Amino acid sequence: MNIPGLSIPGLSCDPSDLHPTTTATLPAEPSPPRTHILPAGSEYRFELPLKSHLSHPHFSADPASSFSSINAAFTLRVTSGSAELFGTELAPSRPYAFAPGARAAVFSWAGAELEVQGEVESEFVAEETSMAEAANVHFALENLREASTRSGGVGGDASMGGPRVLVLGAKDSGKTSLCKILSSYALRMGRQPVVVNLDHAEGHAAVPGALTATVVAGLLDPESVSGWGSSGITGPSAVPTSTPLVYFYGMEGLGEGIMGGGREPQGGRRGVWKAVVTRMALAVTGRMEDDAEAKAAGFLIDAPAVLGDKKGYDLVEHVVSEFSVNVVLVLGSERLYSDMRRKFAPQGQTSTEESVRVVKLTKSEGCVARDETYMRALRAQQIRGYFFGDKGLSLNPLTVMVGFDDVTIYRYTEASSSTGTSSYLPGNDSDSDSEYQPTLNPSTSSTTIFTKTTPSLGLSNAILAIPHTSAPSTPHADLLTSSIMGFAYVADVDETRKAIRLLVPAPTRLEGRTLVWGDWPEGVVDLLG
Amino acid sequence: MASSSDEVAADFEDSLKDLQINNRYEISNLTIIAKENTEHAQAISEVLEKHIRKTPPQRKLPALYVLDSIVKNVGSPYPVYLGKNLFSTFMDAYQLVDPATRRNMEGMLKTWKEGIPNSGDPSPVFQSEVTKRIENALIKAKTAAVQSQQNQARSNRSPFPLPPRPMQSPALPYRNTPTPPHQNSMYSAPPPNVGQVPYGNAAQPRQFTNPQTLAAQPSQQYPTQFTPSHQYNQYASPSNPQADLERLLHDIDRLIKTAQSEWAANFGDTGVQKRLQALLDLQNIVRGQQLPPEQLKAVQDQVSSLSAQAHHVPKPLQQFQPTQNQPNTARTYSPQPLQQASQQFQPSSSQPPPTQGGIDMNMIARILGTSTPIQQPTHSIPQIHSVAPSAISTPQNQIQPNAPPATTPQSGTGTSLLDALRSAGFVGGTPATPASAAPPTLPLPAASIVQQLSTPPSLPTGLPKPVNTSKNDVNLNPASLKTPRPDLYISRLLSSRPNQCSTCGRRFTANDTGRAQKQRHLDWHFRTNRRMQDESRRGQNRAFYIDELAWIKSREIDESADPNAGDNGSGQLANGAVAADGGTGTAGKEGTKDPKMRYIPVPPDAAATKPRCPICQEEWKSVWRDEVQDWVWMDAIKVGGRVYHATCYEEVNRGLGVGTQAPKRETPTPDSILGKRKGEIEGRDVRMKLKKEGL
Repeated sequence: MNIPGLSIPGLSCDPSDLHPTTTATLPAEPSPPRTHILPAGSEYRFELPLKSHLSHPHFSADPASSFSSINAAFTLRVTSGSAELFGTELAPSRPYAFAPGARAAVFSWAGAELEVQGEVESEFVAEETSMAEAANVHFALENLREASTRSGGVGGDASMGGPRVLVLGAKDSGKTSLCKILSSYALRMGRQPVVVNLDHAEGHAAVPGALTATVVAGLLDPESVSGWGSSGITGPSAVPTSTPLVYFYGMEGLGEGIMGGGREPQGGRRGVWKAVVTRMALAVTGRMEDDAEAKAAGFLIDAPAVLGDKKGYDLVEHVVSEFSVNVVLVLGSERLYSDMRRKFAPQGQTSTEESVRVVKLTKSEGCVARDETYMRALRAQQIRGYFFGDKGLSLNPLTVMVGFDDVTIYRYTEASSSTGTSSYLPGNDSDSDSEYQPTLNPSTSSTTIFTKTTPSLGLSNAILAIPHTSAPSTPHADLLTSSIMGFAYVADVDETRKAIRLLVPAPTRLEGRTLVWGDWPEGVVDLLG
Repeated sequence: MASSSDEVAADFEDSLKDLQINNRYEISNLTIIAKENTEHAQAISEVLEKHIRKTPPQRKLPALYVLDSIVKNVGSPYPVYLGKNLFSTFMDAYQLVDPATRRNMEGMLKTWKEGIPNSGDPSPVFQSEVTKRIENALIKAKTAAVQSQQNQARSNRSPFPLPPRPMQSPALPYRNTPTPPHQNSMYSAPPPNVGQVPYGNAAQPRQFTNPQTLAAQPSQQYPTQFTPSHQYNQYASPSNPQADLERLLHDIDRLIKTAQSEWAANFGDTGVQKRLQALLDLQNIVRGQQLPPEQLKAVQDQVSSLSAQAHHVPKPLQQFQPTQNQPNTARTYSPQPLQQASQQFQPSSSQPPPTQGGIDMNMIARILGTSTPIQQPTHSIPQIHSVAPSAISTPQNQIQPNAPPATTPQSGTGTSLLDALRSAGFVGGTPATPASAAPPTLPLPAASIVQQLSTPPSLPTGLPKPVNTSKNDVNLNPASLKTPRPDLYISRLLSSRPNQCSTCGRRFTANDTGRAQKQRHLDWHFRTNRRMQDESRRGQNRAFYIDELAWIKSREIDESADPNAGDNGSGQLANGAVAADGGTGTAGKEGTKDPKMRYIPVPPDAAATKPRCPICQEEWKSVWRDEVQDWVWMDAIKVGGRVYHATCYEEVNRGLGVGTQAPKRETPTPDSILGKRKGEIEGRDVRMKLKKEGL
């Protein structure tokens, strides 16, 4: 009886909701605190308005000014009971502040009372959630972890390691949220799972375009923009930060127009993506072998939406084989589920330890379709957060002037030959629809993935990735799959002085380095105001 | 959404079947389904009623809560559909559940008499006739229970669970009844049904019916379907056959007496007890309610056939004396079966002797003639056998083989009330077709009844439930994943770790390990906060990401982990990182622990020189450290003759371990210091242990 499409928070009226809740439009701030009763098994969903123009700090040495980057107009406090946000339990009585545009759900297993204050776009208490299922998945995975520990012993060679999970689903089907919940629950059980983000549309504690692998430990910061906390900073942080391994896929789409990988040349988008995935899988596998804790916990892969589409099945196969995935969680789509079953777990085949288990899960009613405007703002927020810090954290990025000749900038060949360099098409509200129609040159081979680019004004506002590999001998294969040490933002291109002004997160020497210029994420025009 | 009623109902039924415990989440889910499908309300209501009827006793309450939730939250048209059979739905369940659940049900019933909370609508959830009827039945049951208890108390039996209330009639010792045990046993047969009878004694004048009259209209015994409202009306209409009633009561009374005497002879015979109880119940019902004629007749038929079987001659009782003694006597014994059943004291071996039991069962099955399915699978086969022969041997062959025993008088007084009602024909079901039943088929129903009598289903299976549910038995099967297990989640995620950090919400176990972890965790918060205050004037930067090798070798270190236990790992890490670099690490040697836990003794000249950390320009603070009984600088590391904050040192060096060449700082924080530092640090290709910042 679920009508997923109809349940847009704020619009749907929950019949079982006995408790008076304020819905939708609320008086503008300052609004008095409101109390929401969360019965056991229900969740409070809220959406905060996006500030069309995020106030941003000028990066002065004064931390106080950058602190204002997020003015927390909305706070939430658990006044009694116990509640959690995407699996992370909220501390009692402590006010949590959320960034503009935040959309989240505070769930309670045993019942709780919340006090919220501030402007919301919509808020309501929903009693129909998919949390029980998510929790069941967690405990099922936990059983697998225990079983693997029992059979092989921690760190033993014989140990199979924890479950290697791939989460698939259409756009806005709750993949990332499920990953958060599963990670948080694993954390709460004392595990340290590895979370792999293959979705370049949205960063996990990183900028969009970054594909990351992170061992989560401590706590997923519920207040952070991405919900995954923050990567390391050069100072103390009230919430543990993470240490991700980062790769870069600097193109918007994954060649969604292409059915299957066969027709696409090696240098195409999928080729690039697959190469990065292969490299990541290698590193993650290496970590798992080296890190008994991580191995015991296994990993969770957050996949891009295109993998939940028929056009992306070859990518799914690639991920499954590279990461030796043994559990595929399919969110919502019946067709995807049956296709995955056919592909990985044919009926009649006895399930062995090696076989892939395909599990279908209900898409949460709380999933909200996010339009392109929202996504764009979210990306801008993530980029800003990378340099300046989000949520009260104040970072001091710095600008450096680099001569045109001091750095080498490579650009994706395939991408630059495509129809447009600006990846953002305002009319499109779905990233899987806003496809490139790459005019692929069949002669494009793996050796010409990148072309060297002379900085020009077109570079302004772009995000450049700084690979660890510097000045590769063969510019492509190495550069393509190199891990990333950071990102730089092109603040200015001075063609007369032949210098570019770059915003970098921390002091570093850029001379002699190679930078990768992608179309993705799109530039943020006003990052430096 | 154009699904047919059948589909919707099937869907709803599936979800219902998953409902095992009182889970708000599930129940509201079901409510939503019901709300979204009001056009199929009838089908859903039927499914729900069926489910409540069929589901094991420990699941009845959640199912009833679904009903409650639907009528209250969805409203029309559900109250109409569900109200129709509410009496049987409620009472069927009531008699099968344990006392605690009954209290819950009573609480629920109470709310039905009131308006829906917050709705502003004062009209009751269900029509008052419906709820009144249930209430009346419950009151009777209670009264009976009280009476039983009193009697029991007098006879020094173990106390009955229900609260005592004054009762009028003194108990007469059963021993006075002279009836031969064997015959009695037959009468006691219809225990569950009849069980309620005695309650009526105290409350109402008796009206007895002539069994023969009753027997005249057997066809009316069991109305196939009965609807509560309808029934209510029937109740309301005063029945004229007063004489019939009296005869009936008389008969029952007689049966009771026989049973009593039998019980007297067979003291420990619980089967007889139960029969007795059932008879008493029946008596109570008959007496306490104004049964419509046809129902009365149904009961009469049963009773008369019973007596007929008992005596082989259906002879009407000559004169009925409204003696209080007999009912009272009965009461004396009746508590015992109830109690035993409810408390499960009774091993199956203590079942009634075959012959008696057999008759009982036959009677029950016949009288009940109910559609209620067997609640519990019979588990002891020997018992069945023991019963079976007896059943066959009994003179009566009217047990309908396919009529499953409707009720199990497991516990409490309400148990047999419904049976009695059923026997009166209120409850739908296939009318008993006495004569046609083949003797060989008797054993089964009989056996299962015996079973039910002896083992109250609700308690044994119901109680361990909470324990079981907190066991993690989830696997990746769809069914397993769909089953909510709130107990499991709450116990594993929350209550097993009651010790919560008030700053970040992290939880720790309540044992020593957990306390130690929490202590370290709080220390970490404290240190971090202090450092954040200290360093708030200093700019911070996003750290650069580390490369693959470093990442593979890095470890996330839990701030609450025992630093000593962590030594191995981090030491290995540091070494590994250094080895991977091929460089000469100097920091690694000192840095096997959490940087903030590193310290050096305060240098002797510190007071005079007031040294600062070269990186953050912060003055050193001396801290007394108990373990070393000395003043130390915490978070300190000595590199090349200079003392740095260990964390500062790592932070600065983190960006260095990037490539083959150490990147030059473009704008170092305090220029002068970093200028000096450059020579010392930058040349070294040191890869520090990678840690989470702020640990």
